[in-house]
Parts: sequence; structure tokens; C-alpha cells
Amino acid sequence: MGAGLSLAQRGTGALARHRDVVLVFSMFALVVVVASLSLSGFTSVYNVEGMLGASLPLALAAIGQTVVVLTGGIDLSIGSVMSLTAVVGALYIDGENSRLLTGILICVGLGAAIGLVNGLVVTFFRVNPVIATLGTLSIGQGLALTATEVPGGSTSPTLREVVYGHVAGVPAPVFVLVVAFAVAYVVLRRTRFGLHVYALGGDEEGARLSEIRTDLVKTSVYVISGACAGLGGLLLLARLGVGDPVAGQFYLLLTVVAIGLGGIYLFGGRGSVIGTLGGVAILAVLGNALNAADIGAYEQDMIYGLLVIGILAIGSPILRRRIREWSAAVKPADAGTAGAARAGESGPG
Amino acid sequence: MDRRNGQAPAIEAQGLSKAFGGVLALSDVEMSVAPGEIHALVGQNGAGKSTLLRILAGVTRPDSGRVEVKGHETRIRTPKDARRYGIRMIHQELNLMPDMTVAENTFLGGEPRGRLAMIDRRAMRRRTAAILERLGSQIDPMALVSDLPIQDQQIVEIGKALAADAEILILDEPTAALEPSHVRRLFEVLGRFRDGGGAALYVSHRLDEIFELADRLTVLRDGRLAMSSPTSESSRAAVIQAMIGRELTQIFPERGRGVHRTGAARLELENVSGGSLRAATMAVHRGELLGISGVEGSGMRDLPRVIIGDLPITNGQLRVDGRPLRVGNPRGALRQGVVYVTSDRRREGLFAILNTSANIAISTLEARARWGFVDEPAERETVNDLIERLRISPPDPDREARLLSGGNQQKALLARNLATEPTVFIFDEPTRGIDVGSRAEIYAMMRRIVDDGAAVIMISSDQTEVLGLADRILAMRRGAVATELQGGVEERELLDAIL
Repeated sequence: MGAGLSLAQRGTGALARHRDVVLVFSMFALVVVVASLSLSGFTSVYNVEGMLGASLPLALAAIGQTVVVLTGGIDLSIGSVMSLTAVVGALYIDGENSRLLTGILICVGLGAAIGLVNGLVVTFFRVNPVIATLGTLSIGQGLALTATEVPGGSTSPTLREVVYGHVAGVPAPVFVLVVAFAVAYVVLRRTRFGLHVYALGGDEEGARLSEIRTDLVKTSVYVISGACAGLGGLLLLARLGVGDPVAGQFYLLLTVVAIGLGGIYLFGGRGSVIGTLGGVAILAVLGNALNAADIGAYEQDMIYGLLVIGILAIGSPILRRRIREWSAAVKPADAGTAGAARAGESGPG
Repeated sequence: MDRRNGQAPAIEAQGLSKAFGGVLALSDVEMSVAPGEIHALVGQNGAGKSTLLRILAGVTRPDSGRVEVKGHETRIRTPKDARRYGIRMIHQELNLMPDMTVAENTFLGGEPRGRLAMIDRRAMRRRTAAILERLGSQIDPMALVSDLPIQDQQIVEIGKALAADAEILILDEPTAALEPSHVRRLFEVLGRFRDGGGAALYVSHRLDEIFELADRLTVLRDGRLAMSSPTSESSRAAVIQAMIGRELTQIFPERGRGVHRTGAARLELENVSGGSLRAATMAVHRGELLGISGVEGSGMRDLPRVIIGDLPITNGQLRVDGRPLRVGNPRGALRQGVVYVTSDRRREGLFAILNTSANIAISTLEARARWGFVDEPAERETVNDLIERLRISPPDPDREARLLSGGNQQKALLARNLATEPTVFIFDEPTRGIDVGSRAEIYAMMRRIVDDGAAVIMISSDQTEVLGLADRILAMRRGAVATELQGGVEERELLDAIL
């Protein structure tokens, strides 16, 4: 408890400032240690490459979600956009490398278009992002199932290599992950747009007063998220080999778990995409471990559900404030009965 | 036209008038701030200070009159327009991003661009450091704003204005939240700004500080210009004289029958610290209406919140009828007979879309409920009784609270609290935004509560109200009681005690 408390308090040192990132990678290390001790074959080359490939769709989707959540919004349509673009990509490409490039453009464009709808509904009509993206979630899912009710189409050989291939002896997914997170990091941390994303999430009114074009930034993040989900859908296709119209739906929850683990503040303005990388890594290991331990898909659903609730409860600023108030109330009067009684009242909250 | 030093004023208001719903907030006001001048704006609540600032900053548009900048007429319609003329308003709630660095905040919205559309962070840091140095400040451009104390955050906000080439700073009570030593630091910074030819207009209630630090002051009274002169040619007494002038209207009930002198203490504070309170000691007695007066930052805003447990007490003791008051939250205070009637009715107290009846009964629902079910006939009876006693109009328990007038909303809140039969009432700005007729009724109601044996604390920034209604007045300064006055003293005396 004591260590957790000191981590939760604000500090000025570099370590303290990046405490959420430090925390998520510590958790990752812990999960890796536990998994490699308890599961045989966990550290085999085959298994590690499998985890890397499996993490790609989530990585892209989670990057998109990160950008949206940093502005204080949320994109619930991510999973259904992934399903839709996986299906559209599979049906269009259908095994032909020659159609890969246009296929990518179509999928990214389709994702971006749905993102644009989200963005415009949120900015122009001032609809709450939860409702706006809930609407496109349903539309996207419907479109995917209209295109094909059963898995159809197929990946192309080159697209398959993105997940399963090697470049200079290094698994290809490593390059995809490095490029994706590097681009996201640079855009968020080194460009005006990125700074404005944080500003918007920190204080929208303040951002407007600083003459930031808040509606433009807000619309852009949904477009980015949609485009990321479009790419994520293609990677899902690459991994599964066929276009599955419901395969994307699990990813919405996973993106929220990943960014939650990664220390992205869910009300916006705080967090690093490097934390998201940590969250994605943890989920890749966890998913692999749960499968290896023969835990069924439905049980896994429950586990992820519990995880997301747990993260939100632990990361909640209200909990932190209660803990702070509690310790403040206990400290000055720890000899007095009044202090103890007060602490007892507000303690469990 | 005012041309001090032969220069055109940095900013000049000419014949500004503004009415809100028929009430004249500003009437034909002329004033100007010269380049290289720190100008203080003074006046009682409702004198029109905020309206003037807001017009100059482009937040509000005047009904008539004009604003000139450096001798040229302006067309200021929005805050953005005002910025183009080099005018920048710094609000009491600062507009900084707590999770960003000082440099990022300073250039937010106008970041220096480097290669490939990226931010030139080095230039941003260097220019921020240069600006802060110009202001004589040692703040680290790489520090997170949330790690800075409030006085440094203010300086960052001023630096941000400078980064946008502001020449005219408008500050709304910048010193209210600051300790005296930090006020000095702020003025050193403003002094540097002035020495660079900048003009600063700021609102303050602290006369001592104004005479020490400002070059010139303007007093507004009831929306009109009451006085404007260099501080060196003015005096405290002259400023207070200029601020007074409103007549005591006949809306106050007769004072209590002197019970308070002998009555037992109902609520006592002994060396209480918490929020902005610093070892405050006071008592309010049975049958007494105690007025609390002070300016922003005097601690009077936090007083009720500390008493009801909304702000934690760091030291001292509270007693109700001699028993220690153990509060952890407003509910706890209510159970022990302490009731707080808030000033911001819509945000803190009233449920706008619930009906009058529900609003009145909500605090007593539990006491009257059986196994969680509301005892409706009993509720109706109490509610109707209170609606009648307080003359809530229309006397319709089913009317949604948002449809009631401000005065009747206040009465509904009062009714809710009366339903709990408390021993101590705390009224926080009980008549803010309420018309004169309803005011008189609320005053009468407060007097009746006192006569029935409860104790009332009224916190008000309306000095007329405090003087006209309270049996005894405590003037607060810097978190503690500074002076005790009897009700009905001269307004001059009260102003002298709080300013």
C-alpha cells in the first residue's frame, strides 16, 4: 500500500513524471516472469513470434484510441471498423498481391471516412462521443455482416508476411510496431497538433482561449482513430487469412484495457503512447498465457471485463483523492479519536 | 481626453454604458490607462467593475460608447478581437494546462515551428526563458505548471500574454488568492511589464496594496465613475468616501430584541484552520444574526465550507451547543443541526427539474421514510405548511424548481432546510441575484428564524445588507476575524475594517 501511495503522489523527478510508463513496463516484466515460470514453451522463438504477430491489430487500434482519449473523447466504433475493413479488404484483395496497395488505400480510407462521420457528429452536432461512436459501431457492424455473414475472401501472400514473415532475420511485426509507435510518439509529442491534442483533453475552454482550433483537432482525432482501425482491420485479415465479419468486435474492450494499463488518463490530457505500447504488450502476453493455460474464450471475456473495471477503479482520480484525504485526516490527529473516527467513516468509500 | 505625458493612452474607454435586463450596470464611464502605468479599479460589489473589464476584453459588448487603443478607435467584438489590439485579460481562474510545461503553456496556440511541421522545442524553451527573465522571474520553462504554486502560475499566464505581444493586461482580482509576500512578487513582475511600456488594469479590494503599488486608481460606484486620480494624490479615506453613496433602503426588518447578548453560544469556532482559514475564532449565539463581511481572499468564502465539513479542518475545534461538532461531510453537519444555504442555488443546492415539493422534502426524506419508501401524505403536509409559511409563489408544490423566480428558489432552499429544524443556519450570499421585493421577504424570514431561537450566520459581500440586517458583524481578513463591530455602524467603519 505504501509504495502504491507514493507512486500515486505527484512528483517532479523524471521517474515520477513518467511513473505510469514505468509502472506499466514493470507490470509487463512481472507478467512475463510469471508466464515464463509457469508455462513451458512460453519463451520459445515460435511462441514469442506468435505473440508479436497477434499484437499487431490491437497495437494499431490502441494507438487510435489513445489519440481520441487524450482529447477527452472515446471511439467505440473501433472494433466494428476493424471487422468491416477486414471483410472489405479480404473480399477486394482476395489473394491477389496486385490489389494490395489499392486495398490498403480503400481500407484506410473507409476507416477514416467513418472516423470523419464520428468527428463531425461530435463537433458539429455536439453529440456525446459515446453516443456518436456507439451509432457508428452499430452501422459498421451491420455493414460488415451485410458484406458477408460468414468469413470470406482472403489475404494476399505479401500481406500475410507482415504478420508471419521476417526481414533480415527479425520478425516483421517488430518493424511494424516500432514504426507505428514511433510515428505516434513523434506526432503526439513533437508537433503542434499533438500538443493541441493534449491541450484539448486538459482543458477544452482553455484550449479555445489559446486560439487552438478545437473542432478541427477533435474531428482529426476521430479520423486518425478510424484510419488506425482500418489498418488494424487489415492486420487482422493478415493474421486470420480470411475476412471475418465479427473478429473485430473484441478489440474495442481490449483497446480500453490497453490504454488503461498504459496510464492514459481516461478524461483526457494525460498519458503517453509509450504507455499504450506497454498495455498492448501486457495484453499480448496475457492472451497468449490464457490460451496456453487452456482458458476458454468466454472465461477470457469475463477476465478482460473485470480488468477494465479494475483499472478504472484503481486509476480513478476520486479513489486517489479519497486516499489523499484519508491519509491527510489520519496524520495530524492520529492520536485523537476524532481523527480515527473520521478516517473510519471515509476509508472504505 | 486624457493625455498624460503627452502620449495617447494605451487604452481608453469613452462613454461606455451597458444595461442587463433593464438594470444599468455601467453608465457613461470614461477612463483610460496610460502606457507604463499600473491602474487599479476599485468599487463595491455591483459597482460595474467586472462589466467594464469584460467590455475592454471583448467578452461583453457595450450598449453605447467606444474603446480606443493608442488613440485609434477599435472594433472589439470578441476576446480574439481584443487580443489583436494587444489586450489580454487574465481571469481569476487561470487558463493554463496543468499537465504541460511552462514553455508549452506560454506558446500554446502559437508554437514556433521547426522542420517538418514539428515544434521547435529549443526555440520555445529559449524564448520562454527570455520572457520570464524580462519579468524578473526564475521559473524553469521546463517545469510542469501543476508543480508551480499559484503565484508562479499567474506569472506564467502573464508571460503567455507577453509571448502573444500583449501591451495591455487586464487582471481580475489577481491578488485575491495571494499571500502578501506573493502580491509583492506579482507587482515586481507587473512593474517590469510597465517599465517596458506595458499598461496594466487590475481590480483589487485591498486598498493598502493599491496605495503601495498602483500608479493610478479609478473608483466606480453604481455603474458610474466616482473618482479617478493618481494614487499619490489620493487617500484611503477619499477612496472609501467615493465608494459609499448607496442609500440604505427600508427593506430590513427590525433588529433582534437583544437576546444575543445573553443567549448561549450555539456554534463556536476555536482557532479553526482549514481552507483559507487561519486560526479563526468566533461564536454565534441563540437569537443572534451574525454578519460576516470581507473581501475575496479574506477567508469568508471558505468559512461555511469548513464548518459543514466540505473542506477538511487542519486545526482547532468546532462546537455546537457546547458539544464538539464532528463533521466529515455536509450530511453529517445537517444531522447535527447545522444547515448551509448556498449562494449558487442552481449549481449547489436546487434540483432544477424536480418540483418544489421534492426540493423541499429531499433532506428529510430519510427521516420520514419507511423501509426506503416515501411517506407521501406526511411529506405533502410538511411541504404545504412550509410553502405557506415562506409564501413561496406560486404556491404549487408540483411546479418545477427551474420555473421559479430567483427569490422563490431561494425560499424553496430555505424551506428544505427549515424542514430539518436546525439550530444553526449559515446563509452564504443569501440575496445574490434576487430582486428587492424578495430580498425583503428573505430578510424577514431570516429574522424570524433568529427570533425562534436558532442562530444565523450570514456571509455577504454586500455591505449594505450586512449593516442593515446583522446584530453583530465580524470583519474577516487573511483567514481570521480582524474586527468586531455592532450592527448598524457606519458603512465607512465597515469598509475600513475589511479593505
